[in-house]
Amino acid sequence: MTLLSDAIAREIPGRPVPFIDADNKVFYDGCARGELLLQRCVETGKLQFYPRPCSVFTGGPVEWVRSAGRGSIHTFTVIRRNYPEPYLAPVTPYVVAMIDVAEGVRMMSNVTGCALEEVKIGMAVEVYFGCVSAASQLFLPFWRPAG
Amino acid sequence: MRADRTPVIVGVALSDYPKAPHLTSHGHHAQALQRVLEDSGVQLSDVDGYMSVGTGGMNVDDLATMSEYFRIRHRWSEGTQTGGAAYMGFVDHAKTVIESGLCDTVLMTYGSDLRSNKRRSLSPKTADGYVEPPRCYENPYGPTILGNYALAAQRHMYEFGTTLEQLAEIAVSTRLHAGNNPFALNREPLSIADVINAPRVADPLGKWDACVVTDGGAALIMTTLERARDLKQSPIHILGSASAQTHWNISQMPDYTTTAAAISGPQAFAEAGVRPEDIDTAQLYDSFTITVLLLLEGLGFCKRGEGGAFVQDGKLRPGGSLPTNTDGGGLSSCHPGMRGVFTLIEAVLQLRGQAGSRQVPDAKLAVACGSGGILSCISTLILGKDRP
Repeated sequence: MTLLSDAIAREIPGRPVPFIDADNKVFYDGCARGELLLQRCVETGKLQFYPRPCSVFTGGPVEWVRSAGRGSIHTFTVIRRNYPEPYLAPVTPYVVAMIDVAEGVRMMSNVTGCALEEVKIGMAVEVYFGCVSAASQLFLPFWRPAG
Repeated sequence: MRADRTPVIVGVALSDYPKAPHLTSHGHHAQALQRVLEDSGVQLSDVDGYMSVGTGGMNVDDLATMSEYFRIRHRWSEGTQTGGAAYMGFVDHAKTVIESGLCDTVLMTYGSDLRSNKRRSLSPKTADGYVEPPRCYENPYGPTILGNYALAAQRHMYEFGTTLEQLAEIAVSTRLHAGNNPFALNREPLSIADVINAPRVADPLGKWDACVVTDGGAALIMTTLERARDLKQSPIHILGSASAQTHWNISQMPDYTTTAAAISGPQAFAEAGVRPEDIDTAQLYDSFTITVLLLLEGLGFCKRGEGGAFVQDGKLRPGGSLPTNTDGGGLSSCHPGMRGVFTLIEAVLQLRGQAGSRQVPDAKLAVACGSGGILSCISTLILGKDRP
């Protein structure tokens, strides 16, 4: 059994971190407060991810809503070698997954906190936030088995 | 009587591959240009339309730079970057431009020194330590290119019971074709066991599920059927063409087991008035084994989810009912970053009857399908030896 530690959810020297701009500041500020924020199309009520200043459904305005932070694994891969990004070697192997967030959007993340062999499509997961840059106080969403 | 403006492909050429340390990226464009002029009999001064796109992540040979490099006085140019679908999309667009009379002779070139030039990388650079949106929603999680495709493969196996052995058959059949191409990078036989026993790189995919990394360049010329009568080669007809896009970044893919081939494929087949079972040879973008499986399904060679069963009887192999990627593909022969133009040129060579030891007997109809981005932009061409 290989334990998927949360080391990948901590600061890793050399790993690029998100550039904060007008499109994503609200999202990452939410992460820093422990809130997973999604966008809702004002006109249709449908949700979207990633953050954009307009609705992908109508082109109209969007508003922010808070997710309950629950989801399931839609698909995943176990990365065993990553030559272009050697700074991830200390946390390899690791799991990259597409998470079906319960409210109805999908996002990429890492799944940690269980054995690698336990990761399955359909597995229930919950969000947590990891600080990937102490200097910038930048937090990203990560996921672990639902408690 | 008006001149026949039916657009046709009259010239194709490849530069030196798979290893060409004597050529820069620009040098690949240039060598392919010289060879396509020789192949077709077209004069450079006849070219009034130009299409080219720099390899992703290495903006040294973009459209405007290459127009300057060759001093092309084009009336019209296009460099739409849809990755591995770009040059199929170019043919789709050049068709309309030639038909309309805007241009008479359209040149396309491509060149990449990805293998020999150690400064090259297909991975986007993040020199200052920051990654901008929308890549910031993927890159920090370390997905890798192969991992992106593995997300689709894993889901396909989950939904449809597709096996590693079935995916491996695509690597094996492509390697058998490579054995017939003296230039192919990897020609030694490969077994199903070799493929599935190789170490996993990004589960469920391993080393032999992935394309090779090579140098290579290519060029292609289209003109009117009227002008083609004075040129060297039998013209190849574009019977159907279409392009579609579902996303660009893998995390935005709406359905991990359905590509835009399910849109552009049926459109191209409908325009051509032929069905998948009429096709003599398929040239499908094979960045990874799963790419071919998903394109076969999308194009309608089999139903969604049945790609594994479709390939496992060996029909993609030399002598099979659907010889696929007959030059050895990106999996075994040549993949310098954007393979689309190479699949297109192999289809043309097969239809001309000029594919040498890998010739599919009496090939009259071919499909060439390019996948760009991460299974994102899919352009489909139905090419014919004869007029519709």
